[in-house]
Amino acid sequence: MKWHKNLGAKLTVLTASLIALVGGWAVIRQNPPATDASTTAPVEPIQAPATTTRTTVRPPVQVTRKTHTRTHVS
Amino acid sequence: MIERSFQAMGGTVELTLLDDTDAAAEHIEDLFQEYEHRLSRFLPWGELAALHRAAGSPFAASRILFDAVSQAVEWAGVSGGVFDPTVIDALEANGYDRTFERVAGGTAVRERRRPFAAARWANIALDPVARTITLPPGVRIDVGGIGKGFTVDRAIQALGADANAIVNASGDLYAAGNGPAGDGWYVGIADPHDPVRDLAILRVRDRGVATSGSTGRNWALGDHRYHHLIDARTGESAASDLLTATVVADTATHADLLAKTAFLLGSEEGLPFVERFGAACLAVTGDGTVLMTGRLKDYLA
Repeated sequence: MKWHKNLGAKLTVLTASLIALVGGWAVIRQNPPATDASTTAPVEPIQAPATTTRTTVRPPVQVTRKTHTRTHVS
Repeated sequence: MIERSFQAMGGTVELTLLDDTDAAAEHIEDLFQEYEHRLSRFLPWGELAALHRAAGSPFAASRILFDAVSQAVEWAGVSGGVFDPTVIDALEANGYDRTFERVAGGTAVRERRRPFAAARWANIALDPVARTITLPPGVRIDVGGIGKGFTVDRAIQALGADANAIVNASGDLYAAGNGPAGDGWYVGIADPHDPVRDLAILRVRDRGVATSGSTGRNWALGDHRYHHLIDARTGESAASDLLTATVVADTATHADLLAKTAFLLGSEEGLPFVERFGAACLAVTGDGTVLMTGRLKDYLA
């Protein structure tokens, strides 16, 4: 009868695991990972080694610092 | 501090001298007038015009003209012919056959296109001992692509090794010394989409800075717009994806040459090309994207 007792304990553990698995799945389904958000978030500039070219968004115009001179297309 | 501006080489030259006298400023103004006389292709009585008239024979040049032509030819080789100082025919055929003030004023006329021959710079003979230049028959050279940066460097040399000054020739400049506050000179980079505003501010010491692009010297003829940076492969205004390229380099001459070459090569090849010379570049594309080489961050204020 000992194996019956062990079988009952194992069934209890198995049932509890199934309940936890189904419950977890339900929670995930209701709260899916925010994968879509990354497609609309601002894209960070690519960080590249100093020896390569990197692309960035237009930097903010700096109007507060006084410059001594300017370079421009002549 | 002495601040002075004057007209030369088709634009405004601005001087800021911290530790020099009025006499030094006057000397630099005279220097610019002399260099313009020797290097301009628009002065029929100038030395460059005399060199062109002597094409086919050795021409005994001044030190100024010899050095400028030597550097222009040398750079044509370094750039693999991308920078070609012998494309005057193409420039004139596109309408840039007189000073830009007159071209921009609507007097440009597109000439009937002559057969375009590239890479004629390779046949220019330079004799540094006799200081002679021999142009092949029919070949003319335009040192306008190097003239302002070259003259800026000579002006800085004239001020001496301990100069604390800026010489700025229509945007091609050299900033010598530590500036008025001791932390360098602050140089704004004009935004080509809004030229009264600065796109970024650089802090430099003992560096040349120059900007080249299609937004300055351009003009309309019929339904087409032309600019002065010629693609040596076609003889037409270069169809670069860049609007402007700004370069920080060890001299104003190198900054000027690298900026032009970067523009002509376009973003994909141009910026890596600048990096190979240890210089830094900020470029703006037609859609407004700003591209920077990694080294540029060393100069951002």
